[in-house]
Amino acid sequence: MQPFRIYSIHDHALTVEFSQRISEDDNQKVLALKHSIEEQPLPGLLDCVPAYSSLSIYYKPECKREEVIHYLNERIECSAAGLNNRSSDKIIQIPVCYDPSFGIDQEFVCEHLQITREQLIQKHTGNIFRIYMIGFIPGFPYMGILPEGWQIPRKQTPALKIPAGSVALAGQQTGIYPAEVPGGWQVIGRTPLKIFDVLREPSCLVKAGDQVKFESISLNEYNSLS
Amino acid sequence: MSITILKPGIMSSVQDLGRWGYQQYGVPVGGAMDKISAAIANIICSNDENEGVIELTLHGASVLINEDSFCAFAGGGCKVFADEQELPFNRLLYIPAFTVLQTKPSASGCRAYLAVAGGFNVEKQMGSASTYVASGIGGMNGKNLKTGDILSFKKINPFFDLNTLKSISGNLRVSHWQVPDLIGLNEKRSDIHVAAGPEYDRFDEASRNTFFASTFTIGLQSNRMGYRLEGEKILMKEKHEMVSTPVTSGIVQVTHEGNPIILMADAQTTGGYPRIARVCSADIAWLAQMRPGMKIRFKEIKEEESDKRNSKVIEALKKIKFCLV
Repeated sequence: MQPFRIYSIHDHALTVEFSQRISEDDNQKVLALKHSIEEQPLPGLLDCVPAYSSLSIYYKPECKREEVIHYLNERIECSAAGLNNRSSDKIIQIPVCYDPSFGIDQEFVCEHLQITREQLIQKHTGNIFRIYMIGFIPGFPYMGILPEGWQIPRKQTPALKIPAGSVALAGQQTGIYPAEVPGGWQVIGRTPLKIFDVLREPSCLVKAGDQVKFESISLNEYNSLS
Repeated sequence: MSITILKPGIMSSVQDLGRWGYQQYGVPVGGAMDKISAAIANIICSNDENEGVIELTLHGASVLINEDSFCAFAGGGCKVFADEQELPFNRLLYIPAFTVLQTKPSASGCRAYLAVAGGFNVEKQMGSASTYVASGIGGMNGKNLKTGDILSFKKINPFFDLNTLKSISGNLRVSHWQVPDLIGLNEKRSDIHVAAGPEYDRFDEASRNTFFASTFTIGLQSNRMGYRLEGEKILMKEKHEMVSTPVTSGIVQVTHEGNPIILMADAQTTGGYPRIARVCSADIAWLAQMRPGMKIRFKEIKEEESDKRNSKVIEALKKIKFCLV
């Protein structure tokens, strides 16, 4: 049996924690559990929130904690059994303009990694990234893992405004700022896509578990798409 | 039927009991800071508990009632006046057309909830009327209320019998009955009940003792997202880097500098700070009625006791509903 711990984060919310690290295997367990919960939802379920290596469910006050724990154990067992036949998710293409006017921290990142701008773009577009979770602000996908040896420091002082659509790096992660907010990640490009739009159905273009591939586009293409 | 916002006050917004089902996309639950009072205001008006209400923070708001309306205030943080006449909280009110309601300073509480019988006609976004200003979701165009906003009602005046209400001044009427204070707004207390958080054991013993023995002040930078606490530093046994994991209202997280933050209604969906405690959910409403500058102390209780405290409030709400229907 896979190791895990179940604990309360609220009187009506429980977390299943598989580990406290970023690993594709543990994230796979999280999403298998989410799938298993969605297939057989707890009566009274309000929310099911996956993160890197943990998942929380929120439920109505009528539910008894012991029964929810029992339900979770059952779901974990079911999902562990089905882990091997993972379906190949489709790959979402995300166009990114790496023009230096958008990728204002390219210089810093290249210097830090001792690579050229072309190599940076090639590596960023050459990999398929996994969306581990969405958090921080609505629609912000945490993607990874960046190539071996990449460990990108955050900005010393967070920028007061990072433009919406900015594609950025931090640690071993890459992310997209869906809205203009303060932020500490190093910005290397910008996508014309609106990742999150409350007026659109569905509001969020991506979800945890999706595979993402970045496509380099020119400034002209960016302008025609945005 | 409608009301017009003449002055929005410090921060007024439409809220309900929260936006569920979208945390996996990073959308906070949000909703009323004090969900018990929001529910009570609705119950008094015979609305669904989850109907959108106006959350008024402290005083300074003024609202024009455009047609004869039934409404209710619950919570605290202000006194409500119609001209010289003070209106009671926790009772059904009948307000004649063209009355201006004003909120004035009060000694206790922080947030009042105005519900109108029939409910405000606010379009739900992602299943909720709650305003989440940071992302422009819900409420009136995703924003706090501003001067000139007109909020119409979903239904024309419901079935209340005017004769069951007593007249207080001119055509103003109030119900004889009053809903009891479930929050303990006027109780002299500063203890907030918490259960141990998921990372409790990672804090050193001295800090754990300090956490429960000392007094913290609610910082001025506190808002709907969280209360920043000022007081003695709370430190970990050793530096512990966490990966982001789900968090929610009531979680007490501690920053790397050792300052506790209590997450409130607009808490982000995930976080990476160690969580020393979690507030008993029945106490979150009470906390929502505390003002910046006020002092609190944490009192540890077991999970079972936390459950009991919540059940009491849920049962009380059920009883009130039963009595009023």
